[in-house]
Amino acid sequence: MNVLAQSPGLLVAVPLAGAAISFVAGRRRAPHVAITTALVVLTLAVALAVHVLDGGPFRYQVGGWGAPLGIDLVADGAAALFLVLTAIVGLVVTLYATAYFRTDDETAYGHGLFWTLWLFMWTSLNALFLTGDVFNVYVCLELVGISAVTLVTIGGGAEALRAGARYLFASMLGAMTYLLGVALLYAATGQLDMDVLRTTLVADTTAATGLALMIAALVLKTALVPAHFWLPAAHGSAPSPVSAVLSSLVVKGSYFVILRLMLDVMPAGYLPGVDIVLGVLGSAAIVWGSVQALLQTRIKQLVAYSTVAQIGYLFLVFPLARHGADVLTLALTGVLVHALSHGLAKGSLFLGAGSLMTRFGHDRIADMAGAARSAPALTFGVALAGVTMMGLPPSGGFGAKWLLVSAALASGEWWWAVVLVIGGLLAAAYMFRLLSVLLVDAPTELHASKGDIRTEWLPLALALGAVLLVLAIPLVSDLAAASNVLIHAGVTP
Amino acid sequence: MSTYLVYTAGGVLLYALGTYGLLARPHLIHKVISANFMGSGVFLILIGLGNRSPESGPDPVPQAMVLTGIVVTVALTALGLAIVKRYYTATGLDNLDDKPSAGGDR
Repeated sequence: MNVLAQSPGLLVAVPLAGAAISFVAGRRRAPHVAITTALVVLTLAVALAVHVLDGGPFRYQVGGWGAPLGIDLVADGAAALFLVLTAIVGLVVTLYATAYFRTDDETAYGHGLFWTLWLFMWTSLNALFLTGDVFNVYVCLELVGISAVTLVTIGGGAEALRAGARYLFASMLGAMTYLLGVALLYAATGQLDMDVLRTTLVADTTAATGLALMIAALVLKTALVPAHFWLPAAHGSAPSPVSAVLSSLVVKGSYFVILRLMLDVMPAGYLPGVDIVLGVLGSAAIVWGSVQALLQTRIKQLVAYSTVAQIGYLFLVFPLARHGADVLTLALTGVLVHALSHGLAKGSLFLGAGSLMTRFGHDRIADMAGAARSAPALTFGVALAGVTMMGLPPSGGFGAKWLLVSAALASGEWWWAVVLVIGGLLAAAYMFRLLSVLLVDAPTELHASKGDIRTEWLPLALALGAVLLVLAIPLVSDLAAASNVLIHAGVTP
Repeated sequence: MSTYLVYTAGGVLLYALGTYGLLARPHLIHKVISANFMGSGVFLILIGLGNRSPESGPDPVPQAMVLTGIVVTVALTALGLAIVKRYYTATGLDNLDDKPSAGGDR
């Protein structure tokens, strides 16, 4: 029993303990608890990734109970990537939040609860990435949802409460629909474990209806167009550290479940046409989200609509997966790199937007001229995150687009590549709209006192991570090869 | 088998009613209650599943799922009502459409 083999259990237990301790520690000590927890979780996530790279995917029996009584955790390459991404963004957001939620600011109503809720959300996200059971997915999704909705409303303003209510109702609709799907799937198969379902699933109307309902519910939770209606308000009106984790991490949680259901649990063509529909909706999301981002006048709304667009890319893997092992490998590696680069860059953009709003005292893009002169590191961070959003070389976003375009061309369905190129051009348009204002050399009256080394430099750190990700692509493809999707597809021996 | 079908049909009906209420009713309390309807519908289906084959005894797994589901739904409902209350205090509105009042008794 080495500690590496225990890491799946610890990745859930440690942030959970941290959440409980931060609650009783009081608002002055809570940030220290959160930082310590974040460092331990990052170490554990990296250890898990190393373990998976060495020995391949493994199952962790919670409490020593094996299947069928126990509910196992499953650690594979893809889960490890999402866990590491969550830990990196999580650590940076935690550090940023220590400056954003000043402990001396007694007027801030719910700010003392941020640490506990955020660690609860981290716990649930880690559990979601690791769980191997479709009912456990429901529980994890709801825990993520409850903490996310509460975090959106933490500021207590009318706009945040409205966004939180909308988010909550979307979350409830998704939750109940997902559970109905699980009920139908269980009625047809008598199984809940994903691995058992994968090997035993046979053509059956009830099981197929159940899985279709589950995917529809997860699409709502991932905010794929046209189910994106709740996202811009929720991500745009939450406190900036919360926006960062919602946009870069939380939507990836439900996406990861779709990925596993579509490409691992269900045999190819089990739900005929759904892979195409997801690809088409993904393309629509890229265009619609980008156009909406272009039209926004408030900085966080622009960044939130950019998330609607960037989520679309993640769904291009499904139509491409029909074209054999080579295309699947390229496309899966592409979406995993995209998930990582978007996670890092979007975290950077929301943190940067939060710092700009604090410095300027408002959120109107048009009145942010001259930011580059007074806040150079901050503006450079936002610009660098923009580079990876557009998919310009050298950046993680470029690597992701390159892999996806290669997959599209290799599949013979070149139109997906056209969507990717259009998406890149539109991203360039909306990012330039923001950057053209920030980079204007104009005198500004920034609140100099509101600047802090953390709020100035941490967005840049995440953006640098997104750019340097291009160097880590071989590592990502090794982890993709160690994912259950590629192993069960017979790509990895 | 027929009992199981009655449970399933009743559950689907409740789920559909709840979905309609959640999407179509503007009043926020109605929305919270509708979501509970949806939940109850699914729980009814699951409870029926537990007795699908009476000769081999009850299946405990769906009952465990219902128990967990109830806990989650109670938490969601409590959070929903708390947000609705604070939203009403902050804005004086009982809906998200900026209407003066959605009307409580429609």
